[in-house]
Amino acid sequence: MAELDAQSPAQEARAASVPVRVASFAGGRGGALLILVLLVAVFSVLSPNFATDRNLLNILRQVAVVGVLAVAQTLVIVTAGIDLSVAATAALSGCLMAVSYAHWGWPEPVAWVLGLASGLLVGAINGAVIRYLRVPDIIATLGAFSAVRGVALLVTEGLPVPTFAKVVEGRTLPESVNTVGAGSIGPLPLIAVVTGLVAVVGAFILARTKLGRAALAVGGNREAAHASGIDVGRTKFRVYALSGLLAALGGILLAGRLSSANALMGEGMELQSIAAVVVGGTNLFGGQGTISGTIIGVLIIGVLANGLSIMGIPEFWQRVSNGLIIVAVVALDQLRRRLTGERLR
Amino acid sequence: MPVALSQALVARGIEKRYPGVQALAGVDLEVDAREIHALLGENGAGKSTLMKIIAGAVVPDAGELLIEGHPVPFGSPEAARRAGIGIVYQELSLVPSLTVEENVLLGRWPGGMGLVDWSALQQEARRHLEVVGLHASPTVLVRALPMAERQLVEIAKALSLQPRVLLLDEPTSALSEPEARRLFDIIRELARSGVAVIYVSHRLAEVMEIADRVTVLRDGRVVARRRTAEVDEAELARLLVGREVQGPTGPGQGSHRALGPTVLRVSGLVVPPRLGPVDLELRAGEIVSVFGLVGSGRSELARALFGLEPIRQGTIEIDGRPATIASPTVAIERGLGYVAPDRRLGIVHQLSVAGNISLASLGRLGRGPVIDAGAETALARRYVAELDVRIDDPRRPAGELSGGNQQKVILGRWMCAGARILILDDATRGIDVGAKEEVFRLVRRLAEEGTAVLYGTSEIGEARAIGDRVVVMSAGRVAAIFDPTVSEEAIMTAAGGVRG
Repeated sequence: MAELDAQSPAQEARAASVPVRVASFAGGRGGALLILVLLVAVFSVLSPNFATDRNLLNILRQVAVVGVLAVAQTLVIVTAGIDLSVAATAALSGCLMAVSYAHWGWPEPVAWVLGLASGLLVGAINGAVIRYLRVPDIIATLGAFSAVRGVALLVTEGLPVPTFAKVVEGRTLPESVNTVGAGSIGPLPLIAVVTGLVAVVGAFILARTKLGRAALAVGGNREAAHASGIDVGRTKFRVYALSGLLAALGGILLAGRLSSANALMGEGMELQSIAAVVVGGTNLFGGQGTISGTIIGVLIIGVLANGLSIMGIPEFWQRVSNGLIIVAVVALDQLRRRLTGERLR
Repeated sequence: MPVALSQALVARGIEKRYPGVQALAGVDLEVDAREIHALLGENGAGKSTLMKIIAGAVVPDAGELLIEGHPVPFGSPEAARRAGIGIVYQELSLVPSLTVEENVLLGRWPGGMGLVDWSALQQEARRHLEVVGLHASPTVLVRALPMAERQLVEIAKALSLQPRVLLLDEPTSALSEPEARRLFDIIRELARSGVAVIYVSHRLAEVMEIADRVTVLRDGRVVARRRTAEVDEAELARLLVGREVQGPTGPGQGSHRALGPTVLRVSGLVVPPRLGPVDLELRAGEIVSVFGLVGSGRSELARALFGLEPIRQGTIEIDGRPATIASPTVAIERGLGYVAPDRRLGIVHQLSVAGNISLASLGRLGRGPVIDAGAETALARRYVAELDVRIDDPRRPAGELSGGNQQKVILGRWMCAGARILILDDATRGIDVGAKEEVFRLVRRLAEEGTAVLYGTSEIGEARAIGDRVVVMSAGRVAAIFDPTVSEEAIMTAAGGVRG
């Protein structure tokens, strides 16, 4: 009470001042968009090879898989959760799809279903461990992060798929998977179009469905959500299951892009997806977030990686820059909250 | 400038302007040594800004501050401390994982070379703890203490700096009546020993009881300075809000309502370890006050009825049919609504006002998994207008609302969900007089429309004013059921507390 009493005039005051408005803009989605535009501008000036149609489309192709994982990650993070297992799940699902088709000789649609179902299962297990065993989200998915990679290695015996000695009837990957991974619609890479569709669906879920609203409420104030009749455990379970399913789709897309699958593919993408979500203005502590912001975040990370490599900077620097970006953005966000007087949880 | 020696604190012409808001417009405050001086004001009146200025946390645009005749520079908490100003903030600033004695001297542990001199720490901390009369062991963790005792630790911490002026910001907001009473004794003792006490509060009865003088702030100005011996509560209330308050002044205002059939019947309800067995009946259109101090089982009863506590024994009937209320979801399905004592447990800050209003009605907002956005906005606008929630656009985050308005939004949530049985538990705690009045009006209106209301409170005046009956709880049981015209003394006696 008393603190509100003193803060409300202060908040109004601060809301009016220019640096705060800038901070408030820069900390959210607006700032991310600004950074994206700046990055594109800088790289365009620094390298003539950056702003070509071919390279820009290439960036879309490069970020597509992380984009799908980041949409999944956004849905999880708004519940105040985190899914460290998205990349591992993607690898497992991609491998299962590839192994069942190429090595076991299963029909194409069945391979797809197996791949997607395995991701859904991993997500459901994460959700169940969190819901029923009361394991903190970060620990549950950290366990899955390691265990699921292990299963992927077991399934593939550590070899890339298809492996010549194991294929039946001279199979490679399913034709549909290769098409999604490498094909185009007009000038647009098909894989990026799929990511776009996933983003639209994700945005719809978050903004317009009961599950999305429940997720936001659970992340914003768990007790209030519970006392409003929202089943917190079920909401978490569903969100993690959905995350697993989307991760599986990401894994199949990734296999398609690489024209093969292996158990170690997509390593580090879980961190990239988290970075993208946070860069896009979603609150890491839950309760608030947008898919459009996440997509901007994905593009920032993609443009940065692409731009740096075009400039001939070793790829290892990308890992450094990704790490710095995520910390810098959260630090900026905290600064914005301090300046605008927004209360931390 | 000559200053009488008895004046412990003099603040003159304090002004603080935030763009768009004159938080303080030339406020004077004079507090004598040995005096308990109440600072009274609604939300936004400026009392917290003034407190923060005195404590050195906020720099004013103009004015001066003297402690025992010596000027104190603004904007430095350290300078304020050295000048003899101690402050106990409303949100306690203790570290739960440290012991009581470590907290008392937090940041000033004796010893050198990075080592703590534990016996010196113990000795000094115990001296201050004795003054506040803390009975708990100084070596227990603060986490293990009830709120009342934490408050005492907080005061001991402030006293360890030997303040000449002690600022207390709503120190009783988390205390039960007997605890508050004990705190008052300690405050009086402090004043007698020469400390000037500035006591910030909403609670008029409390101010009347403890303070020698009262300064009333409204819209950043001092609107009155009175000796408490020369005013009554009604006048203070009027000064506070700047108009006549029609709030709960006398008992039994709603008793003319026609009551419907019994909608809630509770028998033999037991919730370990504190509640039961409890029997209770509630009729449509009836408001039953449940009066109980902290620890009486009042809150547990409310929570159990709403599925927030596991029920071990007993039956609940709703509309004559047995109900097994295992979760809030079931409670809501059966037509119940619940307003918690702490609105932070009810409001999702980041979610829009509309989203908060519709939160318990998502199942009905459109078929299938998709929310009918048009219907949601329409509902939100309707309840925002009906409840007079002060916000232009229901799509703004609910966290931007004041406490009273947040509580109205939660009431709106249950109206929206079509709740026919409302369980309120200390729903007006910490909201100002004006907003309280609105909540009372709303509750009465809902009852007139046939809603059954269980109104839990720890304020006797409220219990008598709003209830058609007053159920008094003590030690987990119903101790008595009264007509609201019964005397406050009778209620307090039944509740096991001591009055006056």
